[in-house]
Amino acid sequence: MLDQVKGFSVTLRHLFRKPVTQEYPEYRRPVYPRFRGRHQLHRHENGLEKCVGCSLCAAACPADCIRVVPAENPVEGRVSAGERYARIYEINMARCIFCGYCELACPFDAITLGNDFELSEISRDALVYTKDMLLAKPERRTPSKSVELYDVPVQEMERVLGMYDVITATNPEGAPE
Amino acid sequence: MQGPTFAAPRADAILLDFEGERRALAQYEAAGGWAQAKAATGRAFDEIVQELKDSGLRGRGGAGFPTGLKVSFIGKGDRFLVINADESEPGTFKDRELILRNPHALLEGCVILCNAIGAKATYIFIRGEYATEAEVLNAAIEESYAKGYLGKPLSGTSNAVDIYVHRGAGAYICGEETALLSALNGFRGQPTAKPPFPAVSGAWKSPTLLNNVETVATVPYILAMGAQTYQALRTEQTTGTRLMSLSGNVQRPGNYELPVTATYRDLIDGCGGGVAGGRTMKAFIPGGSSAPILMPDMLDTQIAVETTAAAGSMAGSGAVIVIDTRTCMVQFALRVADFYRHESCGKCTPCREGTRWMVELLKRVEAGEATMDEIDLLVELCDRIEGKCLCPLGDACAMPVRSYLKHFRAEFEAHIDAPACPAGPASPFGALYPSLRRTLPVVPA
Amino acid sequence: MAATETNLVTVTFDGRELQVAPGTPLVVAAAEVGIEIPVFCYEPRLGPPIGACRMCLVEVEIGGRAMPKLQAACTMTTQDGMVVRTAATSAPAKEGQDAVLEFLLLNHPLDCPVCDKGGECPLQDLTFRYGPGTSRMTIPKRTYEKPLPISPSVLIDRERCILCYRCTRFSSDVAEDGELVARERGARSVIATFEERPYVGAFSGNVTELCPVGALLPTPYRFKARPWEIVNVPTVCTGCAVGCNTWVTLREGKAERVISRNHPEVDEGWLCDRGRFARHEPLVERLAEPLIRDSSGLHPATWEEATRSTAQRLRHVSALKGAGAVAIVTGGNLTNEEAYGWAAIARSVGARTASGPVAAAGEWERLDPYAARIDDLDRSDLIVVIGDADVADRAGVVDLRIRKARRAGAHLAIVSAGGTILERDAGSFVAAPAGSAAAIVAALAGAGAAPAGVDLADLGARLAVASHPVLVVTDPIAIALIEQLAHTLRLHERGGVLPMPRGANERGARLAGLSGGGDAVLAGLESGEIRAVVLVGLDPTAEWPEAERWHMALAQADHVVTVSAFVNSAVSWSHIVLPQTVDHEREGTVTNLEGRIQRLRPVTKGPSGRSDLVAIAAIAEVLGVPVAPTPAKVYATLAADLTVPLSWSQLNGRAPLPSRGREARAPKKVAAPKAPPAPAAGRFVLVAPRPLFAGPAVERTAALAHQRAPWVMLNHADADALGVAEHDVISVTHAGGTHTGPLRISRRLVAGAVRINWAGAPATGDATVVRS
Repeated sequence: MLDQVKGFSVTLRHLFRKPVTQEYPEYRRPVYPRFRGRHQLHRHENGLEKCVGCSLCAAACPADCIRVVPAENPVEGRVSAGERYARIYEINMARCIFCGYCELACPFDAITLGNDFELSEISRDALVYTKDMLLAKPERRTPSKSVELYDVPVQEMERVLGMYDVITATNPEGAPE
Repeated sequence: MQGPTFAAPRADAILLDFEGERRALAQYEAAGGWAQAKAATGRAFDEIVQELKDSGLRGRGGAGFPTGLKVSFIGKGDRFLVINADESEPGTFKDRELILRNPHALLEGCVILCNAIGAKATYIFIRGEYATEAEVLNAAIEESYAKGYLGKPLSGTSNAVDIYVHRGAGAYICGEETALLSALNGFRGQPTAKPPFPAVSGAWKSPTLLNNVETVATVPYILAMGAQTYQALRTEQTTGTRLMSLSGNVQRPGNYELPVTATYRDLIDGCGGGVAGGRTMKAFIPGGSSAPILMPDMLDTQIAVETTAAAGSMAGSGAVIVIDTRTCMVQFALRVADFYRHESCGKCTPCREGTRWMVELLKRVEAGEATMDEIDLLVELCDRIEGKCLCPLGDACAMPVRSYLKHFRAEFEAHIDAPACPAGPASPFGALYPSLRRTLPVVPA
Repeated sequence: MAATETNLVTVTFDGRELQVAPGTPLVVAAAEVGIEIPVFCYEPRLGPPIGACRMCLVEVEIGGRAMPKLQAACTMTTQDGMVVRTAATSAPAKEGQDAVLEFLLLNHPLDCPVCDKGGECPLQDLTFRYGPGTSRMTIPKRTYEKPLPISPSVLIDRERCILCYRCTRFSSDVAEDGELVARERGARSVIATFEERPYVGAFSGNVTELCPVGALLPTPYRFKARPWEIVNVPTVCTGCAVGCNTWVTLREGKAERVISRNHPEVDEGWLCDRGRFARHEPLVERLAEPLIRDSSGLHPATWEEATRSTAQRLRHVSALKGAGAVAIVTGGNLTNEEAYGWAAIARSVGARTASGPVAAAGEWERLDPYAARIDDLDRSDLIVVIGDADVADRAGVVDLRIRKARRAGAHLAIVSAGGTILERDAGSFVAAPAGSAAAIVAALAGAGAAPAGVDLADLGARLAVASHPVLVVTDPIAIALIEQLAHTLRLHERGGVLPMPRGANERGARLAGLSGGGDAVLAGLESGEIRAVVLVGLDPTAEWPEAERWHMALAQADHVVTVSAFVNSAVSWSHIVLPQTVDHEREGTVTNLEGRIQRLRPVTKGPSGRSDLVAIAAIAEVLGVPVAPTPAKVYATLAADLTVPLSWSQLNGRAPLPSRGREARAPKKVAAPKAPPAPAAGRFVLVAPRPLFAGPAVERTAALAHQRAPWVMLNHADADALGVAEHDVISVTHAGGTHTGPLRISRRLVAGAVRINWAGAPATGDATVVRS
């Protein structure tokens, strides 16, 4: 009997405590700056797409969810800054595991993972994002925390790295430089 | 245009022991020419080879290979003699003088060797730029045909010899024997892998004896005076006289025939009158731009093959270039490397890419844009090119540049971040690369 | 260490000892002990190694003395007691390798993301394995305008070129066309064609496979796919009777490219441009469903209706008119299994069959006791080519094999009207009147006199003493004549005859039961004896001689069934049209000119979605004949019938060719044929063998348009007489039409003849030649 009261007292105590629940969607918690969310294809300042359709993102993708069909840049109306451009660029968001390997693989910084994760759709077809969709700014933006708070300054990075033997291509023995 | 003036011969000269020229066949015969060719028809191949070996004659084109030994290597089958008159090593112009003054000596030497090895034809591959020299040679050949020395067997042999002059088209690489044979055969003038050696498969895939102009022109004189007499004038491993081409900052540039016992000082100060304008010598190159540079303290080295090698360079083609203290060694290195880059045939990777890289790095050094790492890289580049190429052209670029960096490293380092070339406007090579200067244009001295 | 056997020497590689034949390149010997020495310019199929790229540098010791410089392992050959240290155990060799790669990358552009070679690029692979990780380059790279079309089918990117000279060596030493050369010198060297003219040649596409970087790439495959997005399906080309082994590259259900699968006995890794680039495109123009004709024209029908109607018509006609009233005619581009199915149908309705235009020129089995294999050319000391057609026109890469044999020392003797590409470097050439191949063959067999002015004495003498002669007859003459000559020359005991069938699977079709010639069918149609005809993958009015007669004859037939991939002119008289699959869509086997059976694998589905064998089985079923709808089962039956010792699975990979018995019976004597009549005054004899670049697939491939450019060839004396010069545009009018093109002057083409590359229906006879 006493145990019952003890148990209920716990419940009663918590009944009047302020909940820690964050009420989504009224409150949308800002994510860290490097949070991997919806992909973004980028352009150069002059408007040319950075993506040249090299398919390295597709090769790196562990979920096999990127489809790239390249084509020659038309003489009039060049699309990308390189010899070729991605005529078709599709990412199947249903397969994507948001690992960020495509961003790492891209030699031109053409694709990055932004912070937006609110990607629900009603049909599976709508989850196959086309190039136009990826080039455009996403509709639903997720707030993110300030970059300055979380980026590690260069000197700090070097200090930390200096504590370890880091093996690089020009430093195969890993000796501190 | 005023023709070249020739230096008066020394007493111990052999090839050019006369004043002026002997282009006319009558003149050459009057001096005893063609007697050796006629006398040699009765001598067997082994006899001639032995005489050449005893004379100690070494190839005068740059490699210095013992001639008697080379002739003995000739393979079986229809044979050809090919003369390398492609004289393109910077600083070398001795074969030119030999052809202009004593062409018949070359032709007689060709006939002697052809009869010895049983070759029916000689091809003289002469560099395309030597237009006058080719004309002189062709005129001499015509005279020889008319006289019956060519086209008909000499008495005592059944072998008739034809001589053809084949003009090149402006490629240093065609001075390399396999590239020369390639060009002669109508293909691209690029070296080929050895084996097969020309002695086995050369002109038209037949055994070929390939020698320099001076080497072959010496043969009649050796037969005339006898191998014993010829080799009496000798150092330990080199015999006879050498035609030295002297150029650079000297009073009297030109070709001088000296015995191998003479020293570089004898040539530069004795024959050449020393550094021009009363200036001081900075360094000298003993054997063409492919030879590593030597400092003035090496001037008393004898001009023989092994002595020059012991001094740290090579006797090469006998082209001596004198450099005085005005010269910026970085500019000099750039000019030399630029030559090899331009002449590289492009077949093998280290030479094709390495010479270009070297030139671009040297340009950066001269312009003051290079770092110490890049100067270290230059030294490493020389090591990475040398010994890895298909033919010696790559080495010919790497070895001299390495020697400039070794002896004049401070000058290279002084260029780092310098606003202008430290050697100043007085340096003779500065005018070649004006766009590299970062500051005001060159003011003449 | 002394050699343990008479022929072998001992060489040590990185401490591993090997007994190997002396004179073996070190690169090859090292591979035998599992050591990879990286190479770029070394390619044994291109002739002796040249040692240009310096990638294979190793340290070598001979007789205990180390050689002062690093040696190229491709040009250095094995000697007894040699000790070799590769980069794995030698620091100088490793530095050499690293240096060469660094030098190569110096001017190489950072193109990997946009370069089609990325992912299958030896430069990438070797840099990753042996090269520097970072760049020390602070200087500008050399640049060129790029890419430049070297031809409509091959692009060159000069910035990427590492000047390994594989392409120029292919052009000068394998294809011997001398079209691709190196220009300029040093770091400014470029690969180019003469005056930037397009690379026109039957084998130009091979340089795209030889090139170790992305400098030479095929235009049709540009930007199509990456190596990780494709599947390579092993199959066989069905363009001609050689049957080169190929990989077909498949991406997203489309066949994007064809590359070689290298069967050393058949193609040695080469492909002709037709096999490489010709495609049956565009897909939208392909027949996708069966068509049946009614009073208002051709209308789509279901497969059920079409196959039933076909069977019923055939049965009806044979029942009404008896045996021989139906004919089944094919050009030889169907598989053995399909041929077997049609043959079964033919037997059930007593139909006449044909697999070639002329019966007498199609009896290839007569040559079986004398048949040579393609690699017999490698061992041959005398190769005799008789005929006006070029070997390349009939059997693509066999031309390259003949050239290789000639370079190795075989004597190549050519008897033709002159103007073929093979005769330029032939050992001996005998000029013969145009169209006289049959007379020449008969004369050599002693069954007739040689045509006037033709001296065969030298050739006869050579044939008598050759130890391994190979005979090739490129013109379509009666096989019985070739058999007669083969027997006279005892080619069943030494060397042999290399058959040259027209159709890709003509031999297989005949063996499966579709023997017979089109000439008999044509006669039957004209006489009214044949009332129904099935044309399988063939339009005789476009591909066979006597086009006009076929045209009239087909119009008269009661029933015409056409099996075709595209709409062609035969469709206009057809009562039933069935869609056909083409090369990459088929499963089955084909028999090449050697008699080698090779497997086809389907890469894509045709637009109809149905294989031909299923349709054939359906027709057969209505007729009450059992034909299995799967190729494997049909093959099993076929192999049993023909006692072929190979099972379906044994044809995987590189199909073998079991040796056959060579007992020959003396053939019946065959008389020499009559010489063709001389042309009328002012007219020329027409020499127009069907060129390699002809046919519906070639015509539909834009990348091959430049190979089809028409030309006209005349003897120099005739040209002078006509007052025309090289490059003047000439019109040649003959029975089949008019052909217009620039003039080429030949010193070898016989006077009074005009040679053209006419790709229409085969034309013979005479022609008028006028300046256009």
